[in-house]
Amino acid sequence: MIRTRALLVALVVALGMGALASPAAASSGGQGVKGDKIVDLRGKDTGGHYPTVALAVKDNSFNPQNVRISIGVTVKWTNKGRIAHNILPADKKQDFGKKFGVDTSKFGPGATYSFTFNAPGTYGYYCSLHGAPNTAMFGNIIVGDGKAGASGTAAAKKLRGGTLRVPKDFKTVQAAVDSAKPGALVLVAPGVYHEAVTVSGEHKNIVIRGESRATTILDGDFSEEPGHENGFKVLANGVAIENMTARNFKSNGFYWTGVKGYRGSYLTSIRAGDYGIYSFDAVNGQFDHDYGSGSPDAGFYIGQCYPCNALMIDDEAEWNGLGYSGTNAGGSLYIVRSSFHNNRAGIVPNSGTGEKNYPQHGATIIGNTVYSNNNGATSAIDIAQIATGNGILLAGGNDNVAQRNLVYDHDIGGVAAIPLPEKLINPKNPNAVNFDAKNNKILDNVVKDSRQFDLGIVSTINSATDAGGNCASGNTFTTSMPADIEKVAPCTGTAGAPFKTDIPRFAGLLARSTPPSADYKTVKLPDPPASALVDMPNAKKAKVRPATNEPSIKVDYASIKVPTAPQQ
Amino acid sequence: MRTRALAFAAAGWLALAPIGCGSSSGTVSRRPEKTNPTTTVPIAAPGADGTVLVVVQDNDFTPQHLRVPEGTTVRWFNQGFSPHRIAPADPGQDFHGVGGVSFGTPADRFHERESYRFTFTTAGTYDYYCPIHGLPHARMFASVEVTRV
Repeated sequence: MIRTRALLVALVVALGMGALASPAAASSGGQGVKGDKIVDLRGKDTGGHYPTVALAVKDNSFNPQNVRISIGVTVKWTNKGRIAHNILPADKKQDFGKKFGVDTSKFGPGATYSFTFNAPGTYGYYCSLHGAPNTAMFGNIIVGDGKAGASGTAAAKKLRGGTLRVPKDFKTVQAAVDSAKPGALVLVAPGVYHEAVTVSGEHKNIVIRGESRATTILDGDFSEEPGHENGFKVLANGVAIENMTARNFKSNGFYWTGVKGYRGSYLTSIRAGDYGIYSFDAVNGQFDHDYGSGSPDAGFYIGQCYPCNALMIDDEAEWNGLGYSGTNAGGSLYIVRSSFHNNRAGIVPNSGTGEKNYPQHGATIIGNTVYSNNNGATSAIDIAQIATGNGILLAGGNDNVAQRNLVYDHDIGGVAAIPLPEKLINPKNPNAVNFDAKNNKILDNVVKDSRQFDLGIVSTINSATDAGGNCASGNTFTTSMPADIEKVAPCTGTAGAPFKTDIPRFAGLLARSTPPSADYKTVKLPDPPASALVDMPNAKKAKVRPATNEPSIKVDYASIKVPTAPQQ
Repeated sequence: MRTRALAFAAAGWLALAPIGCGSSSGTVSRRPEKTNPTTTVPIAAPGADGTVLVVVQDNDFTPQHLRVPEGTTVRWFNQGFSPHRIAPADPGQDFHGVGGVSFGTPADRFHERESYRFTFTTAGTYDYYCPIHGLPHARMFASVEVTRV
């Protein structure tokens, strides 16, 4: 009964429309699609945030009926008729990459439906009210060469190895990533790409590389659209991203989550609304030769992992709330030979109940240059405002080591182990915890020009006389809290005098007023320094190295010396 | 604003300091990898404010799978540091909000210590996720199963 009625409708429509639904193959591209000649819309999309082509839905046809588009382009259907229609896949078994189609109830007159085609293929569709597959009200979207989908099955999503070039082979980075199989290189030519890229689980062990770090740019345009918040959001293991810039993203520049194996090399993040370069609940990683600027939270963030087995090396962070933040992250976690300057605060591993695995413990900070982190002009979250004026703060964590760093020019402290009293900071949070700092070591640093103290230890807000196992030895410094810090809390041997720190002074510093946050979208940032303009060696031809064995830079930590001050 | 609030808080704390209070506690272990909802998820009871709470952290929802009767108001509370976002896994699904209100947090996101409330009127399974930190069914995703009363 239903079929008969549909057929009747189809016949009426076909007659009314002048028999547009001719069964003759009219394809010029040899794809064998039925219906009108294929209209080639490649190069005729909108460009912009997501390249889009518009199709009109009328009573009762799709116009144009058959179109060819570039890979990665979004098709937007607008119902310009006077009645409701729907859009359904002609072959229910065909893999469109995700659920395709729109129900009649959501596609009345004036309604729109958009779908992004990220894999080459021929995608047939129809309206079940006014047509049937390849009959009456139907259409085809031919993506790229149309080949992968020619068989009309899941082959539409065939993955490729080798080098996938953007925009030569794929219009967008996302389309290339969606076609990349393990071991593939997605090589992105210079240009500004207004897109946000997700690397889903099946695209593991790929490398995404810009040909030129400073001019291969992903731009988020501060988009509020769901799913567009991050430059890269990586959920696949072993993915390396190299030699490019992400800017103006609402949340994060480069983000790996829940993965084993990750690497970000020669990356630049500017104006990310949360974090610049960010791993979360991820292990076996490396951030090297990266630059992060203009994030209200942290330029670099490694969160919720133990053991993290991660390395940050030869990185630079400036004009962020925090240069580095690492909540609840530790265990084979090294931050070395990097530069943190002109942030609100420099390097701040910390504990927090906002994520799992607290308290933080086991980060090692060696051979970094940390200076002038007093910058009240940045955008900054609350914690960064509170931490303003500090170089290295071991905040509410345990078993951390700060060793052989050069730390200078800070309004408050150079290197300090302090508690992180969440109950004070978040009085309305019923789950807040006052985290103590315990067993942290401050060793062999060169610390100068701190307005309050070069070195500091406060283990707990509950006791001025408990050093909590925190200690300092071998540092070059002038002032400390408590005074004579290496005598009252030495890392080796016995203390020469009882430990007594100054808790009211610490609380006063915690409670002092600091400049409010600037807007991360508009705050004036310095031009990226020379270090952020350095390309990876031989970007076009360097070996493809997925992040399967990170950290891949092997460091003899014992050999790293205290840095010398950069030329001002 | 927050800094000033902190100043008051700190002053209050200084007065109370001699009494002492709890300090840092033990490690929270990681949850096992996420699974699909099963019928073993108990029906959640509302709290004192009449809502059933889902805690939003960096970067997950707890509980991940919730069962509630029709008519329940669920409250999501952002206890993390990052802003999050709540959106339907399938944008085409009707969540049957009261008066046709659509499901999900607005575009300006869902910040630290903010709450989002939604009342489920109709039995069904409603999958959602954080588009910032997850995918519709990967990493930061969750569901509410609404049972008929």
